[in-house]
Amino acid sequence: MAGKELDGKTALVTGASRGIGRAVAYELAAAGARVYVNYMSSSKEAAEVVKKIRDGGGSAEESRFDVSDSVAVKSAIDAVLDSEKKIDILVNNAGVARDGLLMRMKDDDFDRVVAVNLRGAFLLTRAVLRSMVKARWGRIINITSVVGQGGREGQANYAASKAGIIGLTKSTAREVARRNITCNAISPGFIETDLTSGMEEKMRESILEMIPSGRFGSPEEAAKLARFLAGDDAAYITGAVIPLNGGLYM
Amino acid sequence: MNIEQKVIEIIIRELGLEESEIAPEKDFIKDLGLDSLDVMTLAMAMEEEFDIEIPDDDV
Repeated sequence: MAGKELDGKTALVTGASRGIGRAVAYELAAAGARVYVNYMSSSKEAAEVVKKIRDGGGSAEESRFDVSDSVAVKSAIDAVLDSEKKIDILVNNAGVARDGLLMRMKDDDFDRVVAVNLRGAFLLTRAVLRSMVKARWGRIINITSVVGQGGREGQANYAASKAGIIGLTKSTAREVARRNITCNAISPGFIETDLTSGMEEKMRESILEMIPSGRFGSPEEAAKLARFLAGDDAAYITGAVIPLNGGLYM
Repeated sequence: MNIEQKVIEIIIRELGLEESEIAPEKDFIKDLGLDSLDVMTLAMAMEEEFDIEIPDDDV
């Protein structure tokens, strides 16, 4: 059996109990990485992800912590580094939404979304960077959103957090490129997940009309892109914001 | 172990340099060829080892 391209690598995927995070966890494990599956409250789902990876011959561990909690992040990462000595791949995928029109948006609805989606990515990046700098190899993959690039009614908080990810991605990329550490963002459009499958038929139709490809994307397609970015073949790609949206936003 | 020896040990451990390459009079950047990321890594290691804080400007 040929060696897989991420053999021997350790990956941490946040928000990996479902959706894009879960698909990324499966894909990186299939590529040979040992995947730490982070979640905050979906413990049953996270356990299923770990089990499925192991049943398939791959390597995975659960890692429960709130990405917006500075102390929890440090202690969780220290624990992983104790076992693994280094973390090679970080996928900042954990994200929440609290939609509402801006005029009526509560302080906490804004703060919480920014804390998880943006601050979480900062905290995780800071925590893993040292071991990546020492190892002279690293891949940081941040999940932004088409909404962060073009905005969306009712998602000022989500859009702000996702746009913030873009600035974070590019600054990180510039700081550590010399060490063969790349930092890129994947910007998904409408991806078929629990969120979208519950959509009203009329809303689905109107969204599909805006997408040149005429369909939603799949979490697996996002995962394939993440897998490519995590490998050696993507070493010259850094600071990029790669759209995955079927042409919805160009 | 005195402070100088501890510092040398940190440099070896964090940057993978040989003991023979390190001497007190050598400049980190000019003689040892370190870049800003190396210097920062060293500063962080020393902060931890000696339980101190080094202000960013001094790094």
